[in-house]
Amino acid sequence: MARVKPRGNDIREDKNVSPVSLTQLGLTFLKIGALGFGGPFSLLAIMQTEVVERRKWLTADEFAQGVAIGTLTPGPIFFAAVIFVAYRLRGMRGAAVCGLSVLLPSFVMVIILAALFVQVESSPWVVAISRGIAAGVVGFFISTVLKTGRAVVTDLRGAAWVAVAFLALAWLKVNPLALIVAAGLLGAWLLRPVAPVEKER
Amino acid sequence: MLLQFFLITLAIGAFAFGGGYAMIAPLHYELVTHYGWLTETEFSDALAIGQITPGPLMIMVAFMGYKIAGLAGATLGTLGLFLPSGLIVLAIGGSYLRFKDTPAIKGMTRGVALAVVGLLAAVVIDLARSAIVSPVDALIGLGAFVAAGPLKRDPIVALIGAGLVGLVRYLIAGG
Repeated sequence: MARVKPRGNDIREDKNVSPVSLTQLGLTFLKIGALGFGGPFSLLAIMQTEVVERRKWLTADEFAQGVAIGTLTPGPIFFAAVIFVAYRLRGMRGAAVCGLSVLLPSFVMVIILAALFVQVESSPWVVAISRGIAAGVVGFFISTVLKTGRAVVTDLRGAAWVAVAFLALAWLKVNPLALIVAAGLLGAWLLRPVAPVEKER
Repeated sequence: MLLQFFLITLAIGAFAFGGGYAMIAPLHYELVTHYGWLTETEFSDALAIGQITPGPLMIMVAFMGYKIAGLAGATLGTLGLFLPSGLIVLAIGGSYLRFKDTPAIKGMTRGVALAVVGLLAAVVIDLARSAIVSPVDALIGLGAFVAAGPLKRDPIVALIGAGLVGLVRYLIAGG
């Protein structure tokens, strides 16, 4: 039987494909959560290697759908893609198990680091390291801003949007969450492609 | 305070479209600028810890929550930031896919992506104002920029290197 495209709101995997056990799913996402270093794109690449190439639970197209959903919904793209993939494979329970297990390793590590940090934060050594890191974070995020900027700013109008958002926060102190929602609503109206969207032939 | 922190993360979790980077400016605005629960340096620490631990950068909210309200803060903050995203995927994931190529959705995604770049730049300026106060700070920042940018080194290397240079500076100047 051929795979059918999901209808309506149902993004679950069809029933004719052998189900993956919840334990297996949980362990796989525990591993992805523990070994997935780097930015959003390396996380997605690691997840794709595990669930598409190695275990063949999904096709590359289905995985790409998860990533597409992640770019449209709020929050980290990676996390949305995890929930999408897990729900397709094992429904609600799969989504709950994978959502928790993918965050658990880094959550535990951050808690341990935070607990240690609170113990020693007033030590001059830690203050010195922390100051160095703060300066490093600035340099690192300047490169992140330039990288993402270069990827999305393709014309003068785009540059103007970036500048308006920057000034609204840096100068007028407008709530950035409101700015994001406003940018989405205004974008839907002002930045929609004017030419008809190309259809597949 | 715990409840207020949870509600803030929940709101950001539900409305910060545009990926994890979109959450940075709202978190900074609420926790540093507005409520003053975290200093600029603590916010930088959280960013660095989110970056050097595996998993999504936004797990840094656990560090922020821990600083603000202990283990309960870390747990609720993480739930608040990630739960809405998961629920929205489950609720409307399928129908979103059918609309993803419509002009309005494309315009929305583009508008958000552009705004997020501007917002992130504004946060970086705030962080720089408190972090870059001496020529050595500027050099450390430049080093991390060159390592992560042109040299394409792992950000973990850049950030740990920055911390070590900070320590060496202290040992030389203060020891």
